[in-house]
Amino acid sequence: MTRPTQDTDPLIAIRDLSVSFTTSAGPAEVLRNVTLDLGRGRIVGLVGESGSGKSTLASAITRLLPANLSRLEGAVQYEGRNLLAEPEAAVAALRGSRFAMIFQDPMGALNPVFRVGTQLVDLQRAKAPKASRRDRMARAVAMLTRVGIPDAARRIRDYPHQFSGGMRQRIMIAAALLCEPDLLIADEPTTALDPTIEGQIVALIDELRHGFQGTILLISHSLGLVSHLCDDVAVLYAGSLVERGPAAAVLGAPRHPYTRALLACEIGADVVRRATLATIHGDAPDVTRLPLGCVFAPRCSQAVESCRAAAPELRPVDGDGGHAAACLLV
Amino acid sequence: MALLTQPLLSVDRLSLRYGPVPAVRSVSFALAPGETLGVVGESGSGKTSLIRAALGLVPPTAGSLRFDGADITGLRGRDLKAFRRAAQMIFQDPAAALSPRMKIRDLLAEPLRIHDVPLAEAWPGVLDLLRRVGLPDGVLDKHPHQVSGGQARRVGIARALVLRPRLLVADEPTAGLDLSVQGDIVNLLLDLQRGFGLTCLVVSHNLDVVRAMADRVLVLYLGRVVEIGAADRVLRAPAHPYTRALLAAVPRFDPVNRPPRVPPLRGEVPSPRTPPSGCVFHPRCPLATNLCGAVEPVEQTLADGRRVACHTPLLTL
Amino acid sequence: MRAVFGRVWRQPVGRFGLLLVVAVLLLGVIGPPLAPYDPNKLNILARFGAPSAAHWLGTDHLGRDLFSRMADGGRVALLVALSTIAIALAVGTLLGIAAAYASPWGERAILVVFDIVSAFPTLVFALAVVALLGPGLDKVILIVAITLTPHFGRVARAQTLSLRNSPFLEAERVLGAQPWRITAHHLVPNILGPLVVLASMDIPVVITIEAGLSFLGVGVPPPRASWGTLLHDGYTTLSQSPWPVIVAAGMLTLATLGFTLFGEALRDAIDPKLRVEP
Repeated sequence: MTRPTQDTDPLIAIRDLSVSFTTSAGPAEVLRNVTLDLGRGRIVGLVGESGSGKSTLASAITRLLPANLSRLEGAVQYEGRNLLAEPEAAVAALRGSRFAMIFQDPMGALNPVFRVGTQLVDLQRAKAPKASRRDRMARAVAMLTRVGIPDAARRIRDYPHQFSGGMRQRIMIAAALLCEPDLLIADEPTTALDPTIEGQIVALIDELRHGFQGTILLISHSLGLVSHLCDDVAVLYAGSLVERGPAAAVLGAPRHPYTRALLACEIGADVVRRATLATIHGDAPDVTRLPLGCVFAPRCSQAVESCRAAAPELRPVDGDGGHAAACLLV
Repeated sequence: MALLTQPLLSVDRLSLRYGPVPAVRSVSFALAPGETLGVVGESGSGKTSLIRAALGLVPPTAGSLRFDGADITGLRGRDLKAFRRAAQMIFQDPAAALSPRMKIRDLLAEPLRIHDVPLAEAWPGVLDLLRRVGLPDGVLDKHPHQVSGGQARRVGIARALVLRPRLLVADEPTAGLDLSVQGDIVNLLLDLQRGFGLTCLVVSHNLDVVRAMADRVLVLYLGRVVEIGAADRVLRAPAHPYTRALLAAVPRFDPVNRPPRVPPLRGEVPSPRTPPSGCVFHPRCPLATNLCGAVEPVEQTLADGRRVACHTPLLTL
Repeated sequence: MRAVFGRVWRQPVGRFGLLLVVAVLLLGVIGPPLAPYDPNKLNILARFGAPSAAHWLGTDHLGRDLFSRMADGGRVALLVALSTIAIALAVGTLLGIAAAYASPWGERAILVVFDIVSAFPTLVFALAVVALLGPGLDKVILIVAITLTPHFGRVARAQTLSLRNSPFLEAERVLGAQPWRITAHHLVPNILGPLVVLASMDIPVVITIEAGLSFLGVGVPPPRASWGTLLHDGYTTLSQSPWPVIVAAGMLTLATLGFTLFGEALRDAIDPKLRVEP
């Protein structure tokens, strides 16, 4: 199926999203003025290192933010409504029916005391309240088979601990797809898996995307994974969106100094043994004490005075191809 | 490729079981002084058990381990202590490897105290080491939970080198590290290796890091050696189907072309309690034949010096 | 350490408990030497006196000054509490660590001993000891220490088991440390936290046990003062003067209340710290 172009309106339009948490060291500005579109039917990769705020962005969309939230500003537009302004009940109704999530730790997401079948049947209640239990079970078995669980009809009666890590991740994917969501958020879906199992899950996602009509938000620190699967990429650094655009553009011809520096750290297949590897010097900033100007300026080799004065806006770098970077030097 | 000098660590048909469960099965390899061997494998490969046996933490069920020519299995007392001075380790979870109620200063002094090295003389060397790993003097009076993860990692490295060991085992040295700082630790280890003339055994599931650090690579599957040889050769032109599958599994960063995906390796790692017959990899191997299911392959040595345990290796050279 | 006490102080309940504890400690330590009378001095003519200028808390059925007896009783209570807990803590911790590292049979043997000691009714045990060895303060300490040992032993064992496979212990082993060094320098400091909390929460328990044994006559033998014997004597002569009972019961209540509140505040002060540390 062909992927729709950027011209159609996005499924989710994030505008100036800012999130802060209260900590013992003061308010932590985890996300600052993030503006991003999640296009319909696109696979959007959200790339960032620890502390970049990528998981918080996902939590903000689903409004599953922790109790020590001190600031939630901006808008997350979905179907004409701002999800941040909606009442909790309205947003809760979206979870599991329009929005689904896959997490890094599949064991954590599955209830250990219920059989897998029970859980898969249960979650369909929101989408298909009138369907009979037998129908829902049949759909669950079919979905398990689709995601590659052998002997699904028998195994659906097993408990989560009876499955391996890779299998549990497949069950999570099955659970997410059973919701028939508009948006599927996958937060580091393969990070905890062994390499060959990761390969299997990547191949599975590759295969399933063709039948899946919705949008996928893939959060990962793995550039390889993102470059392989994603149509669009957004790069976060210390809570700010520094670059976004089509994957080939952002990853192939990055314009923001951070993106460039990060990509340079990838160890290539032709690395010289025992040669010095590239790193980004300095430390990630303390989000309770962010600098005034560009958040990357302290570590940027090209920073100039005006960079430290004010945080740069996202500017397009290629006309309207959708590629934009938040840098004065672009 | 004969070793002209005596290997620092020589492992011969090492086997290890925990009760009825085999973890390592007849693993043999030798580490030449100054070289870095990367040990690669997934869960259940036995790589953790292997390094614990190599460090004498767990006695092998069979086989021999020789360090600098001397047998280290069953070492006691003073000989054991001497071995411990010469063979050290840095742990996968660096903060958890530091005794929580001790100050960093005392943690760094521990090796000296344990081996009765007079503190006053040796302390300047420790401070120098602290600087070399990039830590400020201020950390000395802190407790492990008061320093960052990266600093804890560096403390662990410094502590391992206080007694100037000859062998350094690194268990997943870059686990949990962001891409932008991964290079720092690798560069540091390479620098320290050069500076102290260390021989290194690096266990990592990150093939890129192994590619950057290792001279030779040992690939383990279900406790057995599947392939071992020069890193350049094994990682670019693998001879064993498992090595090839492992290399192809994780998507490589290549923004320009999306290379066609090879079909992933099917199946899961079998339980070590009930290993498959014949070649333990055969149920998942795309090239398996009847012979593979019946007879366990013997290691063959290829023309470029590497060893492979396969009936139908990808290269015959 | 300072931080922990600071946290205890900041809690109103903890502060109250700490003040009571200090009061009891002062009473037990400097009370007896400063008491106006010898606690065992009889003065039949002044028996059943109400509080007065001469006798601040009145007198008991034999005319002995209640304030002096109460102070002496406080000293006994503290002596028993601190010594039994110290013994039980030391022995229990050693046995607990041994159990965690022992072979399955060794561990089972130790645990069976713990179970038997715990299951045995304290009073029957006390009666048996007193019958065999006669009464005495030292026997009380023996009885209570034995009774309390499994308590610490089980916690020490659980703590040791949870830390046994910790990387930092293995790291010390790799560095060449001998088992005794690993246990003493690295294991014990890290299991001590919960044991200290347990100890502080056991103080009121021991005070009550000692008072109970003395009340029943198998504890501290007369004429030595103990809050328990004070309570017993006062109870039998309640119709003639309420003061001995008021004094004894009041002190027991204040002491156990103080130590309990302090112990709980201490546990709360240490707990978040434990959660933060690895």
